[in-house]
Amino acid sequence: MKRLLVVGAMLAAHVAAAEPIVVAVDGADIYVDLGAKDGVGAGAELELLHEVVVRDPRSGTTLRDHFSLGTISVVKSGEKVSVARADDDLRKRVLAGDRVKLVTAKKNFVDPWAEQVAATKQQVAPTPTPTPTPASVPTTPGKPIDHAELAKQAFQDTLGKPLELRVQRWLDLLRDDPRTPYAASVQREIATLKNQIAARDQALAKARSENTVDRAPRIARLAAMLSDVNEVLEMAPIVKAEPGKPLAMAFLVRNPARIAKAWLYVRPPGAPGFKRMDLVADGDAYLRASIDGAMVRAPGVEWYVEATDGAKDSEVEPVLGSQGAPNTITVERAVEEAPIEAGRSHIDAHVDYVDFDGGFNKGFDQYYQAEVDFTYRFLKPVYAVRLGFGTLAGKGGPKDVIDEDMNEACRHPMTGEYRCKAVSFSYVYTEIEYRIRPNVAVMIRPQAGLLTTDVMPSARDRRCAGTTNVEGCEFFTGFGGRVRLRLGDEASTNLVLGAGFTDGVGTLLEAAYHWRPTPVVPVQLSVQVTDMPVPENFGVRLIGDVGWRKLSWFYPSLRLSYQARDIDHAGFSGGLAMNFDW
Amino acid sequence: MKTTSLLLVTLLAAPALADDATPTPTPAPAAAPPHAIVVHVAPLVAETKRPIELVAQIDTPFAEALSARWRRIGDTTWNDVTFDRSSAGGWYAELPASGPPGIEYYIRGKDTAGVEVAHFASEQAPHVVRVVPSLYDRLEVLDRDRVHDRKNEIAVDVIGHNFGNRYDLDDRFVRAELAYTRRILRELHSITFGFGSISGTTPVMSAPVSMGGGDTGHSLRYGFGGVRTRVHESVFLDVRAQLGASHDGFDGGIAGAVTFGKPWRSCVSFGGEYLGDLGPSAWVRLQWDTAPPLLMGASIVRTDLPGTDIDSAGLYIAYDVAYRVADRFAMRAQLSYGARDGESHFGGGLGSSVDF
Repeated sequence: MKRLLVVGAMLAAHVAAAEPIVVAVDGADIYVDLGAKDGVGAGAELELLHEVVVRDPRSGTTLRDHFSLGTISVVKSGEKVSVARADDDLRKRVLAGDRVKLVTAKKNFVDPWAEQVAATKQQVAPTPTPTPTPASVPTTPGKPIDHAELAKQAFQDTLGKPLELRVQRWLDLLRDDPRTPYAASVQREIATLKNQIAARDQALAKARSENTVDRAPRIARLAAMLSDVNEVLEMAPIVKAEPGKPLAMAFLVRNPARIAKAWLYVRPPGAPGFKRMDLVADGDAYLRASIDGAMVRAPGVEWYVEATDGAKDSEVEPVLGSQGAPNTITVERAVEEAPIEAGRSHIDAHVDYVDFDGGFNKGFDQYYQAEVDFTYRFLKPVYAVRLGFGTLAGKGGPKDVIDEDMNEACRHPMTGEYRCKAVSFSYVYTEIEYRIRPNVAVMIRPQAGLLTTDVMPSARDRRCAGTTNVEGCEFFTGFGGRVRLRLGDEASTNLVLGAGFTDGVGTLLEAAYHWRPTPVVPVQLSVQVTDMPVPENFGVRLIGDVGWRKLSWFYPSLRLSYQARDIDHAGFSGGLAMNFDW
Repeated sequence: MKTTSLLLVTLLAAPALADDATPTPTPAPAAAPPHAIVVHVAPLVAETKRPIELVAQIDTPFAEALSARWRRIGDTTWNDVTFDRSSAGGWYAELPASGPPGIEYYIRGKDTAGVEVAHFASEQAPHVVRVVPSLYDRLEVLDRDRVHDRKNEIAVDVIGHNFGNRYDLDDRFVRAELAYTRRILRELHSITFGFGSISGTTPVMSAPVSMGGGDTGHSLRYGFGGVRTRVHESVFLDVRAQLGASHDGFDGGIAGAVTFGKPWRSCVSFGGEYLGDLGPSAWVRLQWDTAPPLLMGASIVRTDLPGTDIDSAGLYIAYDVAYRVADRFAMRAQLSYGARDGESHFGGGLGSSVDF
């Protein structure tokens, strides 16, 4: 067998007529097209050169070069071919086609066959034995047949010839020289050559064969060279997948003998179970399937593979992942323009008249407040944002002074000093609503505006807005804020607790309970504690607000309130609101 | 020549594979040539704009003329790439870098009899390697679809506000801008260049005319350039610089804004601007898209425009509505209400834009 390889390699090397190369790798044996004629024999060292092919990114041209991988040692040589060995690490990297270079000194080798023939010739020649001469052998009467010369000639004729011709040549020798003393050796050589022919034909048949039994070992060997994965199937990693797009799955069957039929199980997010699909055998050693795009959804697709080896009593077994421990393909979150969602925006406009002393327009403890704000519910990360504009205008002062002035002029009974103050505050605000939990929201609202105060008594409201007499008027920027906590569902039943403060205007503490006795009647009951519109005495407000939600996008509401700073300093008032929802 | 010789070597060396086999030859048809076997782990996804390397081990490689045939998804013609020896052992073929949606390929060989042999996938059922688009790739696709692939916009906007004054002094401004926007729709989302004009009158002191109060005119003519960057799927940063000439001489300014949400959908923006001779401004704007086809917004603006000389800051709230009149044309209108020193007054604005 080895001799056959050598002969084949010699022929190949002769045809190649190029630099010496590794002509074949057979397990641990590395065949090179260098032999005794090249000065190579057992013990010689050969340098193994790997070809490197790279592409120049600038020019696109392909560059080739050779780099030494290591040294292999020759263990035996023929005339033109040698067998070499490499250490375990290097052996895995040796491939047919690698170039080799002799690194030890060349030696002269003698053909042992020729020596044997020569020696035999010397022994045979002195004892000529008369033998019948075959008709085809040219003989000279009286001259003995030179068996050694004929054998040598036959050997020379077989060199570099295919196996079949070599057999034929040896058969010719036996026919032409039936009394040759080398008959036994020649018969052994013929038998060896015939065995080699049979083995060669078998190997060629396997190379031609598409039969799995024949191909499986080859595939397994290649797969082992490709990677050292222990699984029977191998798949390329998927760092991430694009949502909504079909995903082609291809598995390398590393050991075809163990896979006769296989199935891919896939479970998209939220699905109760795995969907089974056939893995289709493809090409040399592959199984393929495609995961439907509808199943490729964030955050990921779970999958595993089961297979059977096709044996009569074998069971289906998981071979890559399992139902209990599936693999996961991470799927990118879908990026899309979300549809416009209803119920995200709200506009609230309300006006409230607050009369603490019951004097209405002639009193000294009243104010009105109007606000309009726009809300959009982003939901995440901030639940909602509001922008609003408000105005508050009114008059206030110490309740004792207001109540005790018999002239109802808000003057101190002892000093006669006017103690009330008119306030006008136009402001804007932004409120951010953040949800700590689904039913717990915190709302924070800073506000700023133009604050005008008037400490002079005047029969005319908003005196400071005029241009004629602004004595006692002060104008400055007023800042404030409000914090609220809502417990419960925003649209149905909830409780809101809040606290607010505005410099120069006052403080407001409130608790509001909102619910819907019927779907069309939203109701809110509030309790407020406030010293507005002028920071003097706190009072309490009890407010009832009832709406009528007949339309989905609009509802008005009406509010009535009772407020008092003490039992004698109290009044009724009200307000209304309009709410728009889209 | 070399290939021929190696093929012969392979043919002759092949019996070596049979060393360990039972010597029971399986006769094959004499005409059947040997075939290569190609083993590789097929890539399933690839990164955008990076070559795809096929690393393979091949048995009897020279028994066939092997190649990987590829094409970009959507193309009709196939391209061939042959397998080269790898310095790390084995063989490799490199498929070129591709963008989304990806590339498809199959591996075939042609044996010595000229018969095509399928080694992996096929022309009829090629293997698809998805190139997963980056976030900005996908956002760009959405944006292109949204703007109908129109990458240019010209917009004209005029806004004004009358702050009024408690002494009946004039305090108002009008600002007009003509802007060209080039949409890039990537991390750099757009570039804008334009011209603007601000004209206004503002009190020199907050006092009645009889006590020395009066007003003066301020103005600025400027050019500006700005960029909008998309730093996150739903976060945009706007930066702009402007240079011009004001009532006082050469003037410049900068402006910036951050938008949470998408500027064409519901969003909230915080912004500021500083103009050398006309003072600073800051605003918060809330926009909602819940009343299609209208796009509504509300803003709170604190501004010194048109370069106020009195201490009080102008403060107004603005409500605006945008409506796409036609496929390419949009109109905007704004109503504002606010004051600086005295009672609140109204303002407003109009604008339009055309895409192309």
